[in-house]
Amino acid sequence: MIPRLPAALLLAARGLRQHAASSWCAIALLALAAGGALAALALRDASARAFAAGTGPFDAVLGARGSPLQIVLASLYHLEAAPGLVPEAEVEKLSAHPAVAHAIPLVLGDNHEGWRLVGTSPGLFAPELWQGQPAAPRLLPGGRLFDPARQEIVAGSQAAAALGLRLGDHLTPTHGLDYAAETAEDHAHEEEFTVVGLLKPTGTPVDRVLWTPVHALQHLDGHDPAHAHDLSAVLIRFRPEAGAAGFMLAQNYNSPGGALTLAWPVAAHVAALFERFAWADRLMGVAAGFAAALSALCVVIALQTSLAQRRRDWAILRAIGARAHTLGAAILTEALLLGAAGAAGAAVVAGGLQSLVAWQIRVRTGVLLAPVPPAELLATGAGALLLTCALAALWPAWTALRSPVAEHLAPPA
Amino acid sequence: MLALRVRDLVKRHSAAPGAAPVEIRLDALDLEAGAQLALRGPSGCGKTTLLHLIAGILRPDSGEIHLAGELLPAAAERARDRLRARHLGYVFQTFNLLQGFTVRENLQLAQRFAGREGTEADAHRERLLAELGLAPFAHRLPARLSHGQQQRVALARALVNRPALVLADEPTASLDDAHAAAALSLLREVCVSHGAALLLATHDERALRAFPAVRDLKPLAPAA
Repeated sequence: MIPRLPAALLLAARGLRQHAASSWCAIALLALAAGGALAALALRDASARAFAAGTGPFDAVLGARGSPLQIVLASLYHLEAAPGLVPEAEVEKLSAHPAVAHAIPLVLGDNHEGWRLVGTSPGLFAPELWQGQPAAPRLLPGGRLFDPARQEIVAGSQAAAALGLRLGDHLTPTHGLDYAAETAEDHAHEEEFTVVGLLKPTGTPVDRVLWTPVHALQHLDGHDPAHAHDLSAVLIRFRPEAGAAGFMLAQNYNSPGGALTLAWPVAAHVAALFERFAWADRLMGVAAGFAAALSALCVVIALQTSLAQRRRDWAILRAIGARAHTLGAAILTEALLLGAAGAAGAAVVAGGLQSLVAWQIRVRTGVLLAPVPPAELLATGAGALLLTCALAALWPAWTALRSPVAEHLAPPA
Repeated sequence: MLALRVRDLVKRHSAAPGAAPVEIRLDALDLEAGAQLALRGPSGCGKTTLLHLIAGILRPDSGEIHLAGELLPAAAERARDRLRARHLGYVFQTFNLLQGFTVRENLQLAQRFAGREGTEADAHRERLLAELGLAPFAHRLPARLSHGQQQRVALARALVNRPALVLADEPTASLDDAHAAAALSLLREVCVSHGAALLLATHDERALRAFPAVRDLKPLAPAA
């Protein structure tokens, strides 16, 4: 029995069913084209937001003279090597500055099976530093912070999971930031570190680090004793009432001939990183336009193919009383059904792609991206796809309406 | 009441692109309710075109057609669609069943376009299917039916809206004598039992012999 649907909807649904192969092809192409474009747009926004949030509570980073972006990437995202060394005395100097609330030392240069050991002070985990931050590092029950005088480790969640670390485990650092299994033995230090704390996941680069006391790394066997009091960077949080202190400090540190660079404000440097990829934004815009054009073409081809095969059916329907506008509405409805199915598929494709990319970014940087595109973007994408499909259906609908009924009633020769 | 009234009908057309235009003319034709008439003419004389004109599928260049007392307007396509759906049944030479719909759905669609839906319409459709021996096949697609069964489906679809007039275009062409006689007999009997007038266009002498009234169509004349 025919369900009591509007005639246009009924004819459209049956048309899609009757030409299932071409319908599914069109839906798959729509889903891939629109899903790819949606994922690209969503990832651009999600990554910019997530990386901006990855700077944590810090306003500035002091490093050796070099690129501020390199200093930020090395000390906050743990992605690069630090450009050089910072005298340890700078921590005391900065701590004494009236505008500075927190000055946290960092020492880089060692790893364990590719996971960075970063020397720091217990102050990095101070609750007052992370007040108001959504991703504060917190210890899992049973653990404790490292003793600054011992070779102990607090492991970030991602590093701990990858290395299978438990409280009480021992590990040996390898010199350098990069790990190669075949040469690891040559670069291995003799000291053994004990895991005394495991951090809860934060969704930030903190998760990818094995945190250890500054002095434990500075005095490792094999390290140059001449640099035993040097740091890689100092993370700085200003007091809320500091005003233009960041600007003043940057002026001082960054003056020509200086040995140090103050990367301030860190958020601006992260934003600058994304501005470097403005060309990629434009490329994504072109890709989205291409996807829209491809979607429209899919619908036109699917409808034209289906109509070419169904010209006689349309003529028969007209001959038994179907009105021309009913058939026009059926073609439009068919396009909208294709669009709706394509939009549903696009949401799945976009979700799948974003999850995959988010997982890769999480693995490589520790930055946690939203695993699915925002609902507003999906809704906008679905609306755009439906509009594209409706516009693409206008020509096939018009040609169907103009098609002479009497000519197509005769069986094909 | 007249099921069909035609006056001064003229249609100029070309049988093929580039061919010289010819003219179909029918000065007058009246068909009483329930009456049966065969139109005789050789192949290519415009029989199908004339039936398309009466059905409102084609527009005449001049003249008037009344279906069940209502004028078939030349200009208003929507009104012609409505009149065709409500007052006319059409049995095509090749049946022209909708292959994507079952037997029952072919009938239901015709009812829907005529605005005849509901319990009474459902009951009428099921009675018709039973009367024509189609009830056991009602859920099947047309392609899975025999030639004779498909012809009965075409007839059922033509009658499902209780039309005043049934048009039949060469219904016995390509049938052997036995099947042609059976098809013709069924067509005539069912139209009588449902009170529908029947206008049949054919060049098949077997069919023409079975009809009480036959009208010869004029040969096509070159268009003026």
